[in-house]
Amino acid sequence: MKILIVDDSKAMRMIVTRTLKQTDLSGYTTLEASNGNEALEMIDKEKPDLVLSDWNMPEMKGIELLHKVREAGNRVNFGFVTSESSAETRETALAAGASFVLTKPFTADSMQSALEPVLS
Amino acid sequence: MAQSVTDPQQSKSGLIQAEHVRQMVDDLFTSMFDTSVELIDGPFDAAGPDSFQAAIRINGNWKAELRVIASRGLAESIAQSMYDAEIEELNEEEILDALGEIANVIGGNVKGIVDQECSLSLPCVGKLDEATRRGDISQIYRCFEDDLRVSLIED
Repeated sequence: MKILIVDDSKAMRMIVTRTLKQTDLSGYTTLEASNGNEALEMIDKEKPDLVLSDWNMPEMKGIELLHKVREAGNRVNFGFVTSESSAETRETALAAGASFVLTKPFTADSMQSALEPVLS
Repeated sequence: MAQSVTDPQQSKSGLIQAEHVRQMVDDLFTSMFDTSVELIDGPFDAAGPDSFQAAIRINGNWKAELRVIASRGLAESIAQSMYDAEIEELNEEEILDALGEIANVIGGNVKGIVDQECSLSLPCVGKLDEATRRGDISQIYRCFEDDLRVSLIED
């Protein structure tokens, strides 16, 4: 199982990877992309099982990335990991086809709770 | 003059209280760094020519700037913890990226509480600007044996 982490912040990609290791989830490998265009290429090439994307990124926001993925007919599981905790953000994400919105700061427990239903 | 931690600080509109920010900072350091922070009385001694700042703007129906200031030493400690790396392995861009994420997380949480039609900017990071304003809410935290200032300024 492949999990693609998309975030323009290298520090946050590290934290997401580290927190994933602290969950009880196993049997996955992680891939990283630092922007939306790179993510689109990796989704096409690597065919991840789950995309974990930041919301607020330069050039292409996470929600634009999700729109492009769905417009291409790709139904890959997609979740947001973001500091954007407003109800509006959550509604927009879910309406666009995201499975969950995990708000920063997160813990291993909150990450596991968000990912487990999707990965099972 | 030092501001007491007991002062009832709030943003201009009253939507964000000092306690909101304290809870966000506490949650952030507990979750991301597995360490606690302590809200302390000033003065803030860490500001200097080698200090770093990270700011994020909230624009829209509610406008504000969230700013964090740290000494180089504290910024390095934060980055070391985030990257789980020795300081020799990190460059200045990575150190500033880590501080920027602190501002990003707190700013995003502030936006969530305001819950109005707003957008969050990308973090703006760099050396401390001498003209930095103190803010409607201005707090100093003791963390990693150093001081971190968190300020919220509503337009």
